[in-house]
Amino acid sequence: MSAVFKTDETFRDDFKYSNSPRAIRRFPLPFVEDKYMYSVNIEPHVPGPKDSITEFQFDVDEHYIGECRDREIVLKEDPLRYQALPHMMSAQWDVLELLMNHMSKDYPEQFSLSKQGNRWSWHNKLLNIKNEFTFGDPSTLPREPLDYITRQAQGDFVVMDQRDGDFYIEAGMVTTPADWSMDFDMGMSFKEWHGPVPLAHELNVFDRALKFLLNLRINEPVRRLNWTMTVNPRLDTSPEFYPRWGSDRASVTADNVADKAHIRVELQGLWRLPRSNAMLFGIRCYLISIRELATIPKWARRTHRTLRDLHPALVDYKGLTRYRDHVVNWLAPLDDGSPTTSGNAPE
Amino acid sequence: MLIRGIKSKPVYTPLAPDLGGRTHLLVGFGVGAEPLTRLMADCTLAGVTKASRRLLYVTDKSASMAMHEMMRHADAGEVQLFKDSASLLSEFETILKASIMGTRLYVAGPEAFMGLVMRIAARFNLNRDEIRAEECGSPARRVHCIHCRAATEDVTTNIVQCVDCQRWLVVRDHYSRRLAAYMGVMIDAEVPGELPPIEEVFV
Repeated sequence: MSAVFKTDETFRDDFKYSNSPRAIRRFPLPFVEDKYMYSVNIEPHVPGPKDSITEFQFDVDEHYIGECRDREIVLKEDPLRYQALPHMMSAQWDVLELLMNHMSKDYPEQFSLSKQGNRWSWHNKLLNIKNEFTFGDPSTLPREPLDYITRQAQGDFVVMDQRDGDFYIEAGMVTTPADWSMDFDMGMSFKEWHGPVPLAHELNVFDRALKFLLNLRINEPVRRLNWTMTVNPRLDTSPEFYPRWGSDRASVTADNVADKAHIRVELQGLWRLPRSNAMLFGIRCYLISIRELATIPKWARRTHRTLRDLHPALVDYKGLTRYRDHVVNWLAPLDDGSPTTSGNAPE
Repeated sequence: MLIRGIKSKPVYTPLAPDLGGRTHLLVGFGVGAEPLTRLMADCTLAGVTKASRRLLYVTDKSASMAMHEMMRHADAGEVQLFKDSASLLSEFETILKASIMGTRLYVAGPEAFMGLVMRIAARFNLNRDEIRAEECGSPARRVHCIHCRAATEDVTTNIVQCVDCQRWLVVRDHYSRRLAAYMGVMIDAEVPGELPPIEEVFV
């Protein structure tokens, strides 16, 4: 069963957003046991079960149209959310090719791509976008290739150049960040970029991840899940616009917590790019309210235990300080203490 | 006190001559005079000619009169003293425009000053291994407002008011070489007016 695409969702102001029962069942709960700590939880990005979020390399779901629309709104106000250094042009084409190939193959009813030599024709039926262009010639597209294609994809994208045994952020489209700024971090090395993350450096997470990623090969992408919480189904929780959304955190009460508080999960994927040898880092974001999540009894029990026992440094870093207790208290009656099966499946 | 453990902060090391260079450009601020004087002596010992050394220096209240005199009579082929960092940076840029082949850059002073020098050097594609920097002097920070993108100079407190948008910013331990600044993020966005005590921390 494929997704029914919603046409009127919003991720700001009136927050018209919800998950269908199908979307809830395929939600990637990031807790595989009843507690959480950082680890190098990287696995091959191989196809998962049918209808799961990893069935295809780039998941297109019921929120597609609203998410693309929200990206346009952000870019209009803050154009620097898209940036690419001049020497990243071949990586830009790599990304466009990767996304167009996969999207058209996996979602043929929504996207089509035909190629005659370097003459490519792309049709995005969901957004009603149609372009013919010459692959490799930026002047034949209305925008730079990376800008063009990531406006038509869900999730943020960062492109890292590899040199001197390190990765440097040198291009990207970031309109749905969990409190990090690509504009501030442009040009940073892998560990500089991740500098603010607590505890993980001491666990050598970044040393090991960097070593692993430097050797990542073409056609062998990898993935991991990361998570945080967000008040309201808001995609753009950037530091740039924090003055707008910061007060959301103080708006959570015992009465509204189940609908206001959301678990935000990032399906992070990494692809080696063939021409440029650069690395594409995709951050595909999923939002679920505590009320929706609790419709799966195992998830209610597990999330209750995980949030209740979360390390204080992570509570602070993830910005949960003001409302974590409300979430835990709301979930507590749904946790009868019975064991949960391992893994994150609904049971 | 110099704060350590910030992953995005550049690693600074004591200056030492790089014998691979043909031109040695020394740039200093305030108490940076001391490491530069030491470097020039080491250069002479290592056989780097006086003529290949060029010094740009700006004094400030952190430097004693004696230091200033030391710089005036520094052991370099060319010595230029400046009244403020803006005019030094402008001359520095002019020099890099003319030629950077075989140039080695040595910078000494507070991080806020060195960051501006290194930002210009990066613009001219000087590699990280062609630049040496030794931190000394005031740990006051240059703070980039993440909301309006203005820079507030000489920040010594944990919380500072942005010079442009006037928001109160908490200074995060996250440094950008490209912007030569630490990140400043609004402190009372969650509850307006709720400010923790302001303390002198970068002194």
